[in-house]
Amino acid sequence: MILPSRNMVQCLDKAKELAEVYRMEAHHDRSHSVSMDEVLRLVCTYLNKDVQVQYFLDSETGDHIRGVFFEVTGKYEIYLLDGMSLEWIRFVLCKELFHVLLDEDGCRNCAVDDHLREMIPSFSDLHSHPGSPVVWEVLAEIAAAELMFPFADRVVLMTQENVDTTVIAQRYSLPVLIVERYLSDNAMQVIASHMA
Amino acid sequence: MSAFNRLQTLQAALQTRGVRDVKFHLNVTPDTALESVASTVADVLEAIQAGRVRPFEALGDAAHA
Repeated sequence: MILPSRNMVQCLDKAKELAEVYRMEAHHDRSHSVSMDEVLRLVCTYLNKDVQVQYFLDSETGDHIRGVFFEVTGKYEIYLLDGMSLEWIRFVLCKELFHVLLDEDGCRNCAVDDHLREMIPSFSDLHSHPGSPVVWEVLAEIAAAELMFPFADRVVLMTQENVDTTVIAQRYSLPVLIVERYLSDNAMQVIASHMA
Repeated sequence: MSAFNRLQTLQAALQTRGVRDVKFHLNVTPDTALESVASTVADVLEAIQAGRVRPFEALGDAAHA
């Protein structure tokens, strides 16, 4: 999937903006991983967003779907798959919170069937040019990764020998899959080309 | 009813209650069939619409300075 450069910059700027709010306002020892309790509190209070988070209960679904985001006339609802690991809860919540922060008219979509028909093939097609709602699915994840596992940290890690992604995942309290994805050459190159 | 027909029914219900944007965090691979994802999404949206949810509680992941 090809992501428009302008939107990439917008998403990374939003991640930087929230990181700065977190740095100034979070009641948290910043030597630890970024706290999603604090991020949620800041999004709701400091940034004044009306966000309700719940878990959805459906054991039949497996984990094909880990999170759902709704915008409901200026309010936001986030639903997380019940029973996920703490690391996945943290990451999916962060990603959905970036949908709140990146919300704008042009990226909305309520045609669920069309959204899926466009989104699923786009994930595996490196040259696809999907519409904005699909692009924002990916950008929200990139922004979450940037907040929780900053590019600057990743650059330092990549200079080290014998990088153990399991240890890194524990340090940042992230799923190993996410750590591996964002340490990959492709992810590092894409983000590097958009960092100021 | 096919998964996509279920999604269209759910979409109408969501719009009735004011939902203007829906997004997902999916766990799919290039081999995952679209129909399978659509079916899962329909299951989840039906669960949410039916109120099969529970409150989110603090994760306790803040290490206070």
